Parts: sequence; C-alpha cells; structure tokens
Amino acid sequence: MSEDVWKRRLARQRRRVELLEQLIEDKTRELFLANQRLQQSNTHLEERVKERTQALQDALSRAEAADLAKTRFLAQMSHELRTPLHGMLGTIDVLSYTKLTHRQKELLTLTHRSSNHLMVVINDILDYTKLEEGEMALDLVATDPGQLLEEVIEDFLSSASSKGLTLQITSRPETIGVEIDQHRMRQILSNVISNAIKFTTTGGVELRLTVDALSPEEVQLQWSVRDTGIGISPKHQANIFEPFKQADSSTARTFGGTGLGLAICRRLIDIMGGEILLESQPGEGTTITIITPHKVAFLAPKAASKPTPSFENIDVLLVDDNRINRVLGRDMLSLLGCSPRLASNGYEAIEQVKQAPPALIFMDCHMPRMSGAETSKVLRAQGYGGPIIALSADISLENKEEVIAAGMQELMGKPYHLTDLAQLISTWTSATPSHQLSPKQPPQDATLDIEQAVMAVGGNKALIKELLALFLTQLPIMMDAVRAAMDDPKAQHRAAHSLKGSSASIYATRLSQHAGLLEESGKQGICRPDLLGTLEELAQETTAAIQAELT
Amino acid sequence: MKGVVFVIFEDFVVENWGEETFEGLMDLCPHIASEPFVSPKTYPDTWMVDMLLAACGKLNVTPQEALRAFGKFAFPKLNQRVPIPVQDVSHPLPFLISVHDVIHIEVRKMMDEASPPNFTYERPAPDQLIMHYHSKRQLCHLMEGLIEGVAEHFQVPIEYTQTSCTHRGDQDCVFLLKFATAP
Repeated sequence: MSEDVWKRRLARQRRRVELLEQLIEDKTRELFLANQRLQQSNTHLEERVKERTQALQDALSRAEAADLAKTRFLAQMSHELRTPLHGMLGTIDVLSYTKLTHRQKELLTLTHRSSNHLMVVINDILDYTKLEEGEMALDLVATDPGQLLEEVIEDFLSSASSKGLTLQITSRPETIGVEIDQHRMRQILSNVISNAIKFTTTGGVELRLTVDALSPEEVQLQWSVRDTGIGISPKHQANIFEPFKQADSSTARTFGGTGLGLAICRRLIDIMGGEILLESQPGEGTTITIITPHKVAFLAPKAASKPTPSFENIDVLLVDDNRINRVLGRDMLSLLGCSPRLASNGYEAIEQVKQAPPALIFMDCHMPRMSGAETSKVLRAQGYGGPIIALSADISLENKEEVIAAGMQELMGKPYHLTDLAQLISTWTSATPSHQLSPKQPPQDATLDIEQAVMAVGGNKALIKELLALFLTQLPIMMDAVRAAMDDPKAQHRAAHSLKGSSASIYATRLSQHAGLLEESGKQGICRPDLLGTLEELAQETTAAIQAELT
Repeated sequence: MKGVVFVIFEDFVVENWGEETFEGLMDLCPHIASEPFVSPKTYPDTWMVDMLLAACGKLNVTPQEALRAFGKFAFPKLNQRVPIPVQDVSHPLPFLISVHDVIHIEVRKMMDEASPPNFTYERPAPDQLIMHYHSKRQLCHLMEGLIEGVAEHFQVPIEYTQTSCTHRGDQDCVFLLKFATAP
C-alpha cells in the first residue's frame, strides 16, 4: 500500500475518532439533561402520589366515621322507635280489656293491626342493618322442628282461611331434638308462608318438613313451602332474594311490603350455613325450599303440670324511667291480678327492695344515672334473691349475655304483650294468672260480649236472654257432636261449623273463633283432637258467663 | 441512510479488495472523500448510490450483483451490531417475520432518523413465505443478498424467487421463499 494511501487511511481514522468522541460527549450531555428531567418528573410524581394518598385516606376516614355514625344512629333509633311502639301496643292491649263499644273495638283492632305491621317493618329494617353489619349471632336451643312448624302455621290458619285457601302440613318427621335459633327460624318460615298466602288467590299452601341424617351428630332439615299462587317469572327469580327488590314495581303497589323479607331470610339462612332454593312457574305457583344443617340435641322432657298458685296479690316491682312505661306496666300487672309497685330509677328500686323485697322485679335496662344491669348488681350484692327480668328494646345476644352477667334471669324484648308478661310471671313465680288470657288476644276477643249481643237484637234484653237460655240447652248437644267427630274430618267440619255459627250469634267470640279453627282443619282434611281441650274450657267459660248473665 | 450501512460497506470493500481499492473508490467520489463515516450519524441515500456505482465501475460488476453480494456480507454484521433479541428463534422463517414486527420497531426506537423498509407477509404453506418489500430506496437486490445471509446464518437453505419488482413496473417487490425445512 502506498504511503499516500496510508496517510489518507490514518487521517480518515483520526477524523472518525474525533467525530465519535464528539458524538459521545453530545450524547453524554443529552443523557445528563434527560436524567435531570426524569428526576424532576419523578419528584413531581411522588408529590402527586403523596397528595392523592392523603386525599384517599381522608375520604376513607370520612367514610368510616359516617359508617360508625350510621351504626350508632341505628342502634339509637332501634331504642327510640321501640320505646314508643311499646307504649302503643301495650296501651292497646290494656285498652282491649276495658269495656268498649263495637265501633271502638273495630277501631282498636285497626290500630292494633297497624301497630303490629309497623313493628314488623321496623324489625325488618333493624334486622337487615344488623345482618349487613355482620352483628347477627344465633341463639341455638334444643327444639323439635316439627313442633316449631306446627306452631308457626297456627298463626296463619285464620289469614289463609279468610282468603278461602287451604294451609296444611302434608309431611313432618317424628319428634326429634335439634339445635335451632327458634326466633330466627320462625322469622324465616313466617316470612315464606306469609308470602305464599299473600301471593295466592285460589288453591292453597302446602308445607313439608323432612330430615336427613348427615352424621350421628348432625342432621339436615328440608323445609318446603309450595303454593298455587301467581308464581314468579324467570326474569325476576334472579333478584327475588336481593334487598329492596320485589318481583316488579307493581308488586309493591299491589301487595305492599318493604322487599326486605326474603333478603333477610337468605342472609339468616347463610348464617345458619344453609341455602334457600326457588322453583316457580308464572300462573302455576312457587315452591321455596330451605335446607339447613343442625346439630342433634337432647330435648328436655316437658314438665308435668302441677297445681299452681294464682297471680293474686303477687308483689311485683317495675323499675322504668319512662313514665308511660310505668303507667302501662302498672295497668298490665293490675290486669293480671298482681300488686304492682313502681320505681322510676335504680336508687328508688334499691330503697324499695331494702324495705320489702318483692316476689319479682321487672327492670328496664336503659336508665340514666344507674342502668338496669348496675342496679341488679347492687341488689344481688345486698342479698336480694328473687327473679329479676330485664326489659329492653335491644334483644341482641350481647345484651342478653350482659343482663345474665349482671345477675338477672332473662331478657324480655319491648314491645311486649300482656300474655308475654303473664308467661314470664308464671315461669318465675310458679303462679297462674287470675284472669284467663288467650295468647296475643285480638281486641275483639270476648268470652261473651253481652253489649254487642244486645245491640245486635236492637237493645231487646229480654230477647237476648231467651237466646242465651236456648244456647245453653243446645251447647252440650253441639259439643257432643264435636267430640264424636274427632276421627272424621268431614264430620268435624260440620259439627264445628254449627258450633261456630251459634256461638257467634250470641257474641261468644272466643268459642266461635276456636270452633272456626276446628272447622278449617276439618275442611283441609285434618283431624285436630288436640284443639278439643281448649274448646271444652271455652265452652265451660261461656256457660259460666251466660249463667252469670241470666241470673 | 444510517451510518452503520456505510461503515459495513467500507468493511465489505476493504475485506474483499483492500484499503487501496476503497481509497480509490473515494477518489471517484470527491464530494464525500473526506467523510469519516460513523454508525450513529445519518447520511444521504444518494451517497451510497454514488459509492456503489463507483465500485461497480472499478470492479467491473453490475449494481445488482454488487448489492446482492453486499447484502449477503452485511447480514451477519448488522445482526451483530444491532443486537436485538428475538426470543427462541432458531429458524429463518419466524426470524424474517419478526424483521418487520420486532426488529425494525426496535431500530426506530434506538435511532431517531432511521427509516427501515416495510414488509407484509403471507404464509401459503408451512415451509413457504411470501414477503412484500416496500421501500422508496428500491433496494430489492440488497434484499436478495440479505435473504442469502439469513439462510447461511441459520443454516437452513432458502430457495427464493422474486415474483414481481418495482424496477419492472410492478407496484411492489414480492419474494416467494421456500425453506428446506418447515419451522
């Protein structure tokens, strides 16, 4: 290679090196600047992330505070709503035992029904809130599920009958003992049965209960409620268990309801570890099947009935800071034949007990200065050994545990009925009420409503006496017919129908209503000899009342 | 055109015909004779044409032959100097498909002013590929050399025919490639 070419190659390579060095320097500078911009951008981004994180934390804190406020508000509302409701229902109860005209009784019945409905709605909302908060716990007790179902169905016989529907249990197992939260299971079954009746216009509702053993310690119950009602379209079946939803908006207008019932049922069943299934054909009917697992439990044998002293003059102390509740409680206790004493706070109660210990204390939980639990602790420390029953609108498991821990015997939820009060006094004093009370007695209940009977015959007292005397001669014959018909549903239906009509005509309402139950069972093809005992008692009561009237 | 092509062209001439020949070519192109080509820079396309035509005259070959030979020489160098990972590729067919979809995209990211050609593909059979070559530079003969370089690199013989060509008035240049083995 010539020297000239060498020189040119060398010069080219030198220029190449210089150029490359220049390029490296330029790129290094560019890289440095880019790096600086990147760092600035990074810092800016970090600041923004910090600001956003803070904003999110603030929003979260606000949401949590609002949530807490909501829970507190609902707990407070629970108390605030139940307290006046207790005043209303209790007053209606007491009022129904006073002398009222027919029109007044009608109005009282309407008030009673509306108050009960309001309580159901409030309970639904509070239950749903508790379920949403995850605060619901089960109160399991040994129960015979078949018996439970029988008891639930009792509450619906008359509403089904008044719509001309049949309501019957077509299959149930022999007596078994399983752990059930009775209150919640009743709530679920009542909801499903009441829906079935509500959405059925012809035909009826059929209930089945079957039991499958899962292991020696565990069984699975399958409760099925089948109706011949309007059914639910496939489109609406998917959201029927969602809260605040009914099959469609026209359902709410036609049938009413909060749309919470089935949502609550489903959540309660979830807590129980079970499931709820729906099968429905529009126009043909719906079957709801509830499957729940239960532990096998030992059923305590029923205590043999023994003669018990009456409520007459039982010394009962009622402690409540609310004046209406005190007045109402006094009237209710007096109505039962007890001798009520009143205390408006814990200090007064302690003083009264010191002077003369009562046979039984009803103690309100929420009282200013000294709560029911605190008062009870003091009473126990001072040696009071009688039963103390807590009264509260809060019937949560926690509250139950708290009252038991304070030395009280049990918790009675507000509002309560006269019958609830009587049952508790009976349980804790082994006494029976001086006055006969029918459970959850509607205001129009009466052994013999002579005023109405007289009004019905235009005020002709002589005529009504003739009718009553005639009824007295006919009653034993009608009762014989009923007794003889206990193994033949058709005969039971006929005989009870006759008794129902005759007793209604002289306004022996309770006898008439009970005969109505027998009549309805007979119509459904079910013999109910178990209802005969009460019927006999009512017949005797009615006879005594008529005899008193005639003399 | 990126400087890397000029640098490889210089290597191509120096390795095959010596430094004197390259300097001789530069004498024939006085307007670029003093230019020290470096890879990162970008130079006019016409400079490459000038150098190529000078080489053809000096070495007594056609531009088509020169481009084909340069392409075959350039592929392993380009592959080495622009190391773009094409994962798990061991056959020329998926490699050639990745030229457009992966390699040229990465080249554009690395070099601002790069304007590599566009390719579209067809797969008439498992062992065949139709490549449509679109470039304003119309270097389809360079493309032939590159295909030969690819075949040699992967050691899979490729039989190719150019079924249409812009130099013949067709809309674009189309190559039908048949691989000795399917991928």
